[in-house]
Amino acid sequence: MTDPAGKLHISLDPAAVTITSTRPVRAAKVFVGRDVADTVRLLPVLFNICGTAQSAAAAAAIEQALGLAPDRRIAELRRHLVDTETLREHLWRILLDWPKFLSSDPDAAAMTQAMRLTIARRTALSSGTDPFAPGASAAAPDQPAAGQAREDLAALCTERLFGVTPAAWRMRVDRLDTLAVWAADTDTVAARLVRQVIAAGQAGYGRCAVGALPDLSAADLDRHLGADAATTDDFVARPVWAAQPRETSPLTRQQDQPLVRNLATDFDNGLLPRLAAQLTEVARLLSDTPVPTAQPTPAALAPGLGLSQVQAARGLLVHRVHIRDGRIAAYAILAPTEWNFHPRGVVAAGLRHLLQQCGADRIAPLVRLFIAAVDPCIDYALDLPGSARSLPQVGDTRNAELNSEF
Amino acid sequence: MCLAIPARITAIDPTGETATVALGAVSKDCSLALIEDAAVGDYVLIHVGYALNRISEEEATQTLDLMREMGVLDDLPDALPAADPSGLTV
Repeated sequence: MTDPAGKLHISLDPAAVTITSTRPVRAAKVFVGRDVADTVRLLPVLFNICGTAQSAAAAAAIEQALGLAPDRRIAELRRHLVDTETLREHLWRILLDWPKFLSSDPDAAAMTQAMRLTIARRTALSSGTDPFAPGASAAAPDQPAAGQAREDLAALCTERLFGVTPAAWRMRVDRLDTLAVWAADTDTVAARLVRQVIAAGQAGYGRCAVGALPDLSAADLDRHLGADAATTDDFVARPVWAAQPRETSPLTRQQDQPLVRNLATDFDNGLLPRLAAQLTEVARLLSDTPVPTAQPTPAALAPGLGLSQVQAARGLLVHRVHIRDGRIAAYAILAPTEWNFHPRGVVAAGLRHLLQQCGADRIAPLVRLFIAAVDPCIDYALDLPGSARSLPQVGDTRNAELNSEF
Repeated sequence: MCLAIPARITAIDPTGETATVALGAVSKDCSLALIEDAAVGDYVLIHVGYALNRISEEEATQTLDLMREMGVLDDLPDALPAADPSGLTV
């Protein structure tokens, strides 16, 4: 059985990097014909990893299509909930995946605690409200409980990530030399990985010329998604902007932060700026700084049409919905992984550069580290140059996902 | 898309750290590091080798019905029997 979640196949040889995907990018079509209430209820059941971001995007798009005026407090509540999910996802990467690159065990105990605390924060924030019902209005959140959960998360990250409080880390660590000092003085997985990357001269590995996705208007996105199914299907599978693949990620979101900006001066969009951006975003979220997002002016789209943009854990998430007679006539979802893992995108171009920077015989762990730094939210199979390893056979699911790529 | 797959725990390693889960006739191993008090017969969401959390049989059925509609479970038989000791037959 092929994996219902799909898979990325990444193949490297000296001549080319090839990325193919079986991700079900047209999954949202399953809602066509359903009524709005059913769609709102089922969407997070199906898209259950980043269900909060998906629900937030769905609610906003549906509200626009139905002509419902957005409620400012609900919008703010949704943003806090999405940011809480983003924090959880980043901690998954750092606590469970980063140790593998240090030959260490995943910090499952810390991740379990992080999951418990993000659930507690979400429950407290949503207190008495269904925040994703179209047209919802917000009850007062349980601020003390929500604040306590965030403080507990900050304490967990102080101990397991930064070695100092997130706020202190942001103040002290603003460029390469202060990052290196922090990494040398701190015994956490994050610090050890940063130290390893710097010491090995890998800070700029994977850099490439693929640029950041600019802020987009709903009208522009609607035009690119197109009016016919074939255009829409092609765009959500392989999106480009101004005919170029683009990146949308914590790196592009945090690119104006001092640490990330300063590292980018020397290392562009290479490995070290990516790791630093993820740590920066965690630190900012723990101080209740929202993920940076342009607030697009609501466009006057056609009646029955709604388009929303949400900054989800891995980048920009877009939903577009057509509603006719209370039922979904069309639904499209454009996820950040499709931007970043485009066949000519930042991962493909970055891996090509990686191949040039270090030889094929040393490349395997670096490829995996670079992919983890971009973070595909999905399992992938890797075919490396000169390797006897073949891609997993279709249907071979036994242990295929249990750390088999590391 | 970000999809975690519902599956049913059919066996738990004596260490309690890993489990075998079944989706129809397909079995795979997963880590139980992120959930507590897992038991054989529980339905869990699986993502990149981890069991994320327990879900009800109803939620598992709903999710798999949607996935079947999407056409990504097209090589598995229809219907979820009320009590299937061998795993989540879908």
